[in-house]
Amino acid sequence: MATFKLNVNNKTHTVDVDPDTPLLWVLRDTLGLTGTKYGCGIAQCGACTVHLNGNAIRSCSLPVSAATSGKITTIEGLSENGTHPVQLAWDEEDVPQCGYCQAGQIMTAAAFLSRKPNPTDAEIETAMASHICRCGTYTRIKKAIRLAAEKGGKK
Amino acid sequence: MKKIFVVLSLIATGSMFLSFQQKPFDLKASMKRGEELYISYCLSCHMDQGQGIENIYPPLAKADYLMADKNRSIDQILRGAKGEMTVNGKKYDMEMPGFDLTDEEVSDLLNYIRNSWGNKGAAVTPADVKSVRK
Repeated sequence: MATFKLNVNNKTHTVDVDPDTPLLWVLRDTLGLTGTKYGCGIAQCGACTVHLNGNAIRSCSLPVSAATSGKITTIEGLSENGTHPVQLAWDEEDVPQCGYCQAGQIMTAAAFLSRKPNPTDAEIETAMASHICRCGTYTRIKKAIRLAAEKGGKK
Repeated sequence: MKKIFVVLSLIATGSMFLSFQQKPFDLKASMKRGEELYISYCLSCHMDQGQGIENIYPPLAKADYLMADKNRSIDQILRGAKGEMTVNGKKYDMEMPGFDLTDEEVSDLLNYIRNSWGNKGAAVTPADVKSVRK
């Protein structure tokens, strides 16, 4: 066990965990931030996506020891009260079916739109291609991202 | 009339010949497409500047292992990488899964990786990828 200082959603937390613990489990089990989900555990499905310094990364494959130097943002911290343009668009388009993948999808979409506020459909597809939705709501996901872009996805 | 026919057929064969001429590979355009793929598929472990994560995920930036063999890189993207490897004098032993990408996508991705963050490498064409995929 070792002590790590993490900046999560603009709050500093000190945690005492094994250095090779994936960030995902520190977020969920140690800090109780269970909005971020466990999917595949090998960075292939996208369910565990959070931001590290504004980049969308897979928290299941990032050891906590590698996350101490940056700002971590989870779905709980993306906006104060669920009003990020991507979250609003998600609501408006009624995107989720089971909802398991949505936190990860939203985090990647938010990071993507902050880099590319006016993406083409093809760019949206490339950016989201590495996320899996077991309900197959891909069409609504794409629609919501387009809507968020139109309403100003950059925040 | 005959003359016109001869001229026309000359123009036709000429333009056919020109259209079959290979255009030089546009490395810059390929890299630009590759950057988006990198963000989607690679950044999570190899990080935004290709720096990797110490002792866990090997760097791509100025990485001797990467730049030594482009066919090996193609193979690793298609089929994954497993087992110990030494990158810039450090040992890494993690598994990378293979990725379901087209020949053009693998070429774009590798052109971005092999020509960013201080790397400089020859272009990887979709045909190169096709020959490794076989």
